[in-house]
Amino acid sequence: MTLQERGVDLPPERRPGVPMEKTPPRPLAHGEHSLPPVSSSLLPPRGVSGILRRKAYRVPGHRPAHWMMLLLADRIEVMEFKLRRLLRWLLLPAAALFLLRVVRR
Amino acid sequence: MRAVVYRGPYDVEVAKKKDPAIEHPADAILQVTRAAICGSDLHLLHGLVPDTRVGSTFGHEFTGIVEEVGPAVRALKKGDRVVVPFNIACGACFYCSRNLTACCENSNPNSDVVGGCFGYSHTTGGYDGGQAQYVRVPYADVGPMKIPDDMEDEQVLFLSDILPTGYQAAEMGEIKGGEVVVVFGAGPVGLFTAKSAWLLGAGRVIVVDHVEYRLDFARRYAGVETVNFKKVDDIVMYLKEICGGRGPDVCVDAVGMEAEGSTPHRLLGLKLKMEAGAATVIGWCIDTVRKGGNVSIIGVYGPPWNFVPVGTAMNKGLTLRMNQCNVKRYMPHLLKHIREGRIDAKAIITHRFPLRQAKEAYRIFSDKRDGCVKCVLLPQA
Repeated sequence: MTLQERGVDLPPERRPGVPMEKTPPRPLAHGEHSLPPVSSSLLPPRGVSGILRRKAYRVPGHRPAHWMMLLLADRIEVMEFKLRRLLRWLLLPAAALFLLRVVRR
Repeated sequence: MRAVVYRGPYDVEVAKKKDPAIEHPADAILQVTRAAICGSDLHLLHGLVPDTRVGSTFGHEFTGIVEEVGPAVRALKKGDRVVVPFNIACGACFYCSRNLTACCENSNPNSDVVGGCFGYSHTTGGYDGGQAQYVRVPYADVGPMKIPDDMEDEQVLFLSDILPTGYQAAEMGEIKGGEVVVVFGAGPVGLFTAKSAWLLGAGRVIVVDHVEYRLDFARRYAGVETVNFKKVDDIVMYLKEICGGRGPDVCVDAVGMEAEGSTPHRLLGLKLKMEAGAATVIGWCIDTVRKGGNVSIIGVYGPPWNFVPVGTAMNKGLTLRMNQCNVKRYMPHLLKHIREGRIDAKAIITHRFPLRQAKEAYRIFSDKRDGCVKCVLLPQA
């Protein structure tokens, strides 16, 4: 950027966010009609953390309890995940051992 | 497909994941060509953003090639190269039609606090992000911008977030010409804020940080003065002193919730979780800026509250402005700045990694090692 280019956006009309809100309102796409809301179906709540998350979303966002429950659920979910992973690792040798015994008999 | 997957605080790995599919008539699926790691991804990585679920994929700064479109999509077709804003916006609701796409009320119906974002926890809708080989893009006619044929993906990649974010941060400072602007944070957003402050007519720009190599980079990249706050006794008093005793006209918080510089804030916000991260920089902005000045907050803070000196702000007659960036409204304007050579956005990329090395990329970026300013992942490498 050269020194001459400094201040190139000084006039307010060159600033995309001035005024902050566009008036009159004008849709950005789809003409005048709006599309239905979208959401994500990924990673639905499950386990103990899921119970807590469902409970949290019944409390409005302006109450600290909403966020505290979510943060607690995050920590619980990590523990649940680690436990599941450990069990999976234990299950493999257990199954192998069981098969070995069956074959030996 | 392969994707970066969150496993818990400070733990991500690259794992196999189901390919995304069209779930809504206005969706598109992109093959991701570039995905950057943002400073705000570190807040997720560090477990500071509520409802960050194990198994989720981060990444809200990406470019890609359209692979598939839903039946309602008109503006895109298979093969188009696009850069995608981090906000997911319907384009037609009360907020979108006023160009406040960050506040869209249709992309995150569970919340009246924040609109939908890519890869930024279920608090912002639970959408997977772009640090993956493929990504689902809702409302594909609204957000994505086609990349001009004569431009490379990396030239425009940061139109997805950090460049408009930095520009909006400076714009919210309401610079009228000749002002002294102090930008806290010499990370990518701070760099673009500093550049934008010049474009908007600032008379003097000072960047504050404590990471020496980033301050060096800021001096070279943005032509600013710099201050290392760890090398002065009291950063507020120092800045007032070098700004004629009154303080700067505008202060910008481009740091957010993991700021260094205050043991009480770090203890209360990051260790005990009694506030939503360390709000050190908001305090510095309010204390430093001159009476009647402007404070612009673009750093990310979580809910529900932070300890900030509101009384001081009131007594000093300050204007405080803040918002997630409404990316879409800045894209054409900033594309022009890139094209005309006033902003070389690509020049801040210091590291590139194939997706499979994402864990290492996060480590280097998070630890600020190896002169790292900005990391970009190459999902197809």
